[in-house]
Amino acid sequence: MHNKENNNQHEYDPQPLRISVLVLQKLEMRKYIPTPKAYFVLRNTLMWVLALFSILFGAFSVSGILFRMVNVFQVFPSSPRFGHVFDLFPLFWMLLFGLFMYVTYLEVRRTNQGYKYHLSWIAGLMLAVSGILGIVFYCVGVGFLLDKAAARYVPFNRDIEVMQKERWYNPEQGFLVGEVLQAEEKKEMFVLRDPEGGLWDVLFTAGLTDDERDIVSEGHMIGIKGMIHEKDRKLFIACRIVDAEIQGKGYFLSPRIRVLLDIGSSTNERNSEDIRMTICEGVRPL
Amino acid sequence: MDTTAYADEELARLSLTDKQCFAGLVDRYEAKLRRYIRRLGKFSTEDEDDLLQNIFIKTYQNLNAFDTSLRFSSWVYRITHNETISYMRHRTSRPEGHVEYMTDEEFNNLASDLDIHKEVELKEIRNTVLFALESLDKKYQDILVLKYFEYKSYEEISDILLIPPGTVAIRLSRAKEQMKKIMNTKGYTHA
Repeated sequence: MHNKENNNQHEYDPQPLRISVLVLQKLEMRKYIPTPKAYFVLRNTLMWVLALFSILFGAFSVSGILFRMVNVFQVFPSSPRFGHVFDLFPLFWMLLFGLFMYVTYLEVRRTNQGYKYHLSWIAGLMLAVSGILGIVFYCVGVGFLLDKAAARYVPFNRDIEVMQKERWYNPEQGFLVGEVLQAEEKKEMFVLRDPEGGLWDVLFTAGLTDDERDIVSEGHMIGIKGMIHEKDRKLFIACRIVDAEIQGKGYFLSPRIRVLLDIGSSTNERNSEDIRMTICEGVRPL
Repeated sequence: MDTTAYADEELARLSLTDKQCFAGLVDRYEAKLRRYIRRLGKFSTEDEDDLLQNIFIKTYQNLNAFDTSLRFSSWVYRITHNETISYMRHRTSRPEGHVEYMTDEEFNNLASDLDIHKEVELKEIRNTVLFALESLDKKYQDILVLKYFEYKSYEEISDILLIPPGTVAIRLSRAKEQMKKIMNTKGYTHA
């Protein structure tokens, strides 16, 4: 078929103008030389490196998406409104992931052979690689850390722990959330520290299931539906208990790292000691 | 130096050290690329000469970017396509240039693929085919021109237009469908 090209010199072709002579003259006159191969190799490599970075940032976005999706039930309001969309769906992370996917596509397209790959192929690869890396990042706590940062610097993006507090911390209305500081063996009562550092004695009620009682363990975040005792305003009666542990904190679950990175947790030894003393006072007079 | 014995890709490699080899490539491609430029747009002979010189100078400057896994012709057609489109963008008007440059062979090649049947004067059918061709979107025109007038394979068209081979096949199929529809409206049936 390509032989036709050579036989295809038609009558409308103009007389040869010896463009080659003119081109060589210009090359000599303007001292043009071929651009070094290293330049093209570097440019091509740079495009691949940028594409890999985009995939990496895409993976960070995936970890943010996972973090929000896994923990959405911790903050799901009792009466959802349209305004909650920004809180409940990881829109920011999804937009960021879409952006990085598009940037990756553009960068791959600019590599030497990149044009041979269809958008769907690149998108599929990006989803697979970023997805797997994103799960790993989520598990080690990168999603949690990034979500914290996004809550601090990105408009309409709120801290999930703050939202959890808003949703679950309203003792007067029968909602209490916090960290279990000390639980009794008999599972009749335990001490809980609320998000503002206040301490509560919490009483189990007979209606609680074994599963609900098992959630109560030291250091665990729990949510309680119940009521404040009429006489003792620091005593809370638990009618329902749910797990309120924010998932996906990974390594950042460690209080030491959280304090180091200034991402919440006001735990300190002195505080714990005071609490123990308080509990001991109540149970066994000194 | 007699350059006729060398393949394009070999000449491109030799051109890095010997400009006469590059002159051989220029001579080899001048007519083909001039014809292709005319199919992409209508230019004066002076414009064509300027455009061709720019194309070959750009080709020379980028010789080290030539990917040896490609055919040299695909690469130089790609540069020509991009330079011509860029040149046309700088002009306010963009008259099409296919009409004057379709040979009988090229016409028959395209018409047989569209299954056009009507006992009328050849000239009339030619004009209708050209009208239909120029009515198509630019992306479909580009594919048809490369496939039926420049005799390029799917792979080569992919390398020239920088689109995936699958997209070439899809666009070609859609281009032919659109051509058939336009021909139908003009009373030309197809099997």
